[in-house]
Parts: sequence; structure tokens; C-alpha cells
Amino acid sequence: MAEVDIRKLNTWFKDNHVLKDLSLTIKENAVTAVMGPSGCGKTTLIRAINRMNEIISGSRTTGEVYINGINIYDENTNVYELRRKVGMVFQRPNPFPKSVFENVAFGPKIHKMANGKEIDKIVERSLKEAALWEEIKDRLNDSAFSLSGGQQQRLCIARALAVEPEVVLMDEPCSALDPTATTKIEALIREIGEKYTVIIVTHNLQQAARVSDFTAFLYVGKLVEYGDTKSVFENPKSELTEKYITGEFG
Amino acid sequence: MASVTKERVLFVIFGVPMVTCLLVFFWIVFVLSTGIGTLRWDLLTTSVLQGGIFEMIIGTVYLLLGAAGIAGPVGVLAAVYLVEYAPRGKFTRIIDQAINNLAGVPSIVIGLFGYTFFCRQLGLGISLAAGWLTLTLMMLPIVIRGTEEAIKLVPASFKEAALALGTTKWKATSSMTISSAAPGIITSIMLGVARVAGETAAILFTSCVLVTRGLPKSPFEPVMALAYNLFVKIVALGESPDEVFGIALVLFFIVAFFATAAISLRIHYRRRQPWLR
Amino acid sequence: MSRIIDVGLEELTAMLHRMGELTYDAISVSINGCLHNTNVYTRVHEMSDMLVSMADDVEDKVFELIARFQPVASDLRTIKSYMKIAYDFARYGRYALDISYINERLGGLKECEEWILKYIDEMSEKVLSMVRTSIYSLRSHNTELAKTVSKTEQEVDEMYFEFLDRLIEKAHIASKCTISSVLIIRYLERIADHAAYICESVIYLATGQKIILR
Repeated sequence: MAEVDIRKLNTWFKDNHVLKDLSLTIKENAVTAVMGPSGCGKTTLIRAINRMNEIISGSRTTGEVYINGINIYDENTNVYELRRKVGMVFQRPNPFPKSVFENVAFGPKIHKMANGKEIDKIVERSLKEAALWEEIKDRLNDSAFSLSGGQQQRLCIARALAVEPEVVLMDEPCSALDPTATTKIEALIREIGEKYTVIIVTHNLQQAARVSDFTAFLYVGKLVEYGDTKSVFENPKSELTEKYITGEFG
Repeated sequence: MASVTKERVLFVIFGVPMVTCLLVFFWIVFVLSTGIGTLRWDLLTTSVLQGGIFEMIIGTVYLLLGAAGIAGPVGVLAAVYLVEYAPRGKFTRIIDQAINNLAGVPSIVIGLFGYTFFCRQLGLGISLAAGWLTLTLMMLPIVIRGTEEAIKLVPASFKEAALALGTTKWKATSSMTISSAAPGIITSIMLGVARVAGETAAILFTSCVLVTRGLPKSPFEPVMALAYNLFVKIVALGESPDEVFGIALVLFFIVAFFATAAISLRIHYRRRQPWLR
Repeated sequence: MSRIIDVGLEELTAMLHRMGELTYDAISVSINGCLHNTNVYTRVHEMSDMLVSMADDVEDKVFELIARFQPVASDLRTIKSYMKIAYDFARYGRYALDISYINERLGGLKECEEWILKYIDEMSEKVLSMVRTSIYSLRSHNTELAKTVSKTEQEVDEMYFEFLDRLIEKAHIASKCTISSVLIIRYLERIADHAAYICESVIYLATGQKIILR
């Protein structure tokens, strides 16, 4: 559980100025949705929080992001430890080409968090947290690809939770899933939102409304509005927000 | 032209070359099979000094294993560098072009280079080691290209997910990309071996002699090889092609073995790579 | 660009406009029947029943829009308000019915003194104007117009209490007139209240603010 304080964040990809002077404070232990039309920078924003933008060549970031009071863009930051504390779930489920068990155990092994029997416990805990344990506890050694799409995504969530993060980033986690799987994952997101700081990017307005406690609306790289979800969806302060959520554009 | 007729015409146009290839293949097998008569089990296991071809077979195998042992790791690491780490720029493009060029160098030229550099310059003399290094030069483009392709086929999502969990770039690459590409890598090494198994010109002056006393005891000794012997027997010693067909057949089988093994491996491992479908 | 929910919203708006017209008729017919002693009970009864049924239809339509289109922001406030306003319109109809029932049952105001008739006439003028204000401000989403109802509502309140005081003072026995007039004034005051509710809903619909006009 950590508060994420974003201050004057700017990101360029080569000459493209994607995030413009963005400042935002994400509340801890809550689910915050980031919404906006395509190309508004929402994925770039969350990838700035675990510094995954740096992997893309030609990217440049200025500004500060404080997690629990520490600026993660400081030059002394251990990026690998940062990525343990800030987990990520991607749009398409991307389990490793290994067994279910190995997928979840991968993170803790890399970070030397435990060994032997301890790893078994961590795997069980994580799979339970991701509401997947009951379904696959007898299939831990099966290939991850033998699971359904929704199960694979829950596996990816378990994998991220296994390393005991403080923040969990989700980039449109349900967009590749069918409605039943989506419903399960949305319920799961609300549950883990009580223990972790969850930031979810979604282009599905109803999902943002259902799943989040707070909502941020981005437009062409700028923060247009940010508030508790009920107020944003019932009585938005900005006309641009109003137009977007009532479907007049986007 | 009506499209049905057009389809039929195209079918014939594409079918003829394929049938021709098959016919040629079977003709080669037929011709070689006339040499079956000269093959006997004891021929394969008896030393050359007693009329067999044992040392030739083992010599070829030594050459191939050693070359694979060098070209494999070097090629894989080079490919990993080119795909994962090399910055996009002029330098990388030059390296790329150099690899392509290396693939096109005639084997006799490589053999000459090998002789001049490995045998004379580095003082290895006519030896197994020099043969290994020369054959490696021929195998490298195949291994590098094959490995590059295998790596590129591995979905980037694995590596991305590993990085997002906090692994270093090398750990992500080695645990995800390389291990997933392993079947493709092994296949390309085997194809490289199949390519150089029958190489005569490269080993002509770098590693082979007509007869050795027993098997070489160190890599710095020369070796006997099937291809070399085939060449020398026909050209230099004027033996009749019928007598050496047995040797040719053994060589043919060795190459066919590696090629078939490569393809079987690839088919077998496809099952474990559902992302390729 | 028209959105998929717009068709539903237009239907809903049309339903409310029809209700507005009908309810105004019901009230004015009922009050006039009272003042001029004509028997309008059956007619007003029909109108009131229709208003109740229309309010049910509005409620159904609102829930259909919610289930199908998940409206948010101004759309959501609009249909939330429409549902309340439809209920208020149906209440108008109910009070109109009650007023005409007085006429029917108790014989109305024909035995009343002049001053009572004048009072009821004046108050019903004010109340009818409030009803008109509520209907027009809804039609045009006019918040300024909606706010004007506040002043009249106060006046109606004052007149209500004034009348009760004077009645207590002047009439010492409960007669048909006394009872009728007290009930009618009471219903008029309630209609005025609902007019204020409707105007508050109009302001909420347009601005998202919850203001009290009473």
C-alpha cells in the first residue's frame, strides 16, 4: 500500500510529446481508473510508474514520481527493486512458457525471496489471492497455456502479487477476455484494491465506473479531471469530461 | 482466361518443378545405391590400414562435433547480441552485411584463408583444430541467421513480462527468449552441420591427410575425413568411382541423418511452442 | 453526432411534455369546477388515472434506459429528475382529483361567503402560475425561470396560514363551506409544494446542484 505522487511528468517518444506536465496523487489502497480516448497517454502514464517506458528506445522522461515519499526517477534508484514493488498486468495475458507453478514462482526466485518449501507457500498464497487456487491446485505442473484466457490473466495477476508489490498497474486487463472472465477479474480487482494500490487503464467507461474508487481523465497527454468516481460520473467538473463520458466523442 | 482454367494451369506450373526435384532426388539415391554393394559392416569398423574406413568416419564425426561445439555458442551469442543488444546504426548494418557476405564466400576461398591464418599464422598446422575453426567460419552464417529467426519468433511479451517483474535484461533474455528459442537454435546448428558435413574444399588443406595412424590423440593432429578421401581417391589416385561409392554413400547418410534430425526436432518441439500457430 | 441513447431520451422527454399538458388541464379544470360549481369529477378522475399510468410508463422507460445504456453525468441526472418529476405530475393529478371530489361530495363552495371565494380564486391563480412555471422550465431546462417559483411559493404559504387564521376568526361552526374551503386550500398548498419540487429537479438536471426552493 503506497501513495503514488506524480509531479510534472513529461514523456517524449523521439519527437512526440506524449505526457504534458502531468501531476496527480494516487490514493493508496484504492482502485484508481485512468481513462481517455486513444492516444491520450494513459498507457504511457502507468508505464512511467514502473519505468517500463525506458525499454522503448527514443523515450525520455522528466519530472518526478514519488512512491511512499521516494522519487523513483532519482539516479540512485534500483530499477529492479522498483519493478518488484510496482507490478504490472498487461492487456493480453502473457504467462511464461512454463508450468503454472513456475510462472508464479519466477518472481520470488529472481528476487531471492525464499526457497524450497517457502516458495510453495508463496505460490499457494498468490494463487489464492488471485482467486485461481481452487481451479488449478491439482494442475500446478501443467503448462500455463493449457488454461483459459481468463485463467491465464488471473495467473498473471498471481504472478505479479507473488513478489509482494505495493502498487499494481493494470493496462486494460480485460480487453482480450470474454464477458464472464471479465466479470470475475473485475470482482478480483475490487478485492485486491483493498490491500494494494491499484491503477487500471481502461477504455471501457462502464468498467471504470464499476471497478474504481477514483477516476482520472486524460486528454492528449494532459490531466483534465480527477476525483472520486461517483462525482466524476454523476457530475463532472469539466465539460470535456462530460462530453467524453456521455459519448459525444472518443 | 477463366479462373478455373487459370488455377489448373498454375497447378501444373508449380507442380512440375516439384516433381522434377523428387525425380532428381530418387535418381541420386538410385545411383548411390549401386555402391551399396561395396558396403559391409566390417568395412565400416575396420581401420583404414586394414582396408576399412573406420578412421574416416570417426574423423568426419570429430570435425563436425568440434565445429558445432565452437560455432554453436559463438553463433548463438552473436545472434543474441545482434537481436537484443546491438544499437540500430551503421555499425550494426555493416556487421549484418558482413555475415551475409561470409555465407557467400566460396568454400575453397575459406579453405585457403583457413590454411593461411589458422594453419600457418596461428601455427596450428594441418590439424583437427584448424579444421574446426575453418568449418566454423562456414557454419556461422547459418547458425547466426537461424538463431536470429528463432529469437525473433519468440513473442516479446514473455520478455516484457519478465522485465516488469524486475529481472535484468540479460536474465529476461536468457530465461525467456533463449530457452524458448532453443528448439530453433538446435535446429539451425544441425542444419549448419549438415551443410559442412560434406565440405571438401574447406578441410582440403587445413586438416586432412590421406592416412593417419589410428585416431588423432589431440586436436593438433591431422585427421582423415570421408569427403577428403573421396576427392583424393578419385582425382589423385585415379580409383574408379564404383569403388568409392561406398564412401560416398556413408557421407550421404551422415548428411541425411543430420538434416532429418534437424527437421524432426523442429516438428517435435513445435508442440511446445503454441505461439507459433 | 447523435448517440444511441438519444432516441430513448427523446421519447422520455415527449412523455413528460404530454404529462405536463395533461396535468395542467386536470388542475385547471378541477379548480374551475370548484369555483363555478360544475361537476367535473368524472373527467378529472379519468385524467388522474391516466397521469398515474403515464408516471408508471416513465419509470419503466427510465429503468430501461439505465439497464441498456448505462447513462452517466447529465444523461443520468436528466432521467433521475424525469422520474421524480413524473411522480410529481401524477401527484398534481391526484390533488386535482381530490379537489374535484370535494365539489362532488360536499357540494363545493356555493354556500361560501364572498371573501372565501375571493381567497381561493387568488390562491388558485398563484398556484396555477407556479404549475405553468414548473412545466415551462422543464420544457426548456430554464433554471432562471425555475428559481422564480420560490417567491410565489412563499406567498402561497403565507396566504395559506393567513386563510386559516381568518377562518378560525370568522367562522365558528363547521359548515360544508368551512370544511370544503379548508381542504381545497390545503390541496392547493400541496400543489404549490410539488411545483417547487419540480423546479428543484429542473435545476439539478441542468446544473447538478441540489437547491431548495421552498
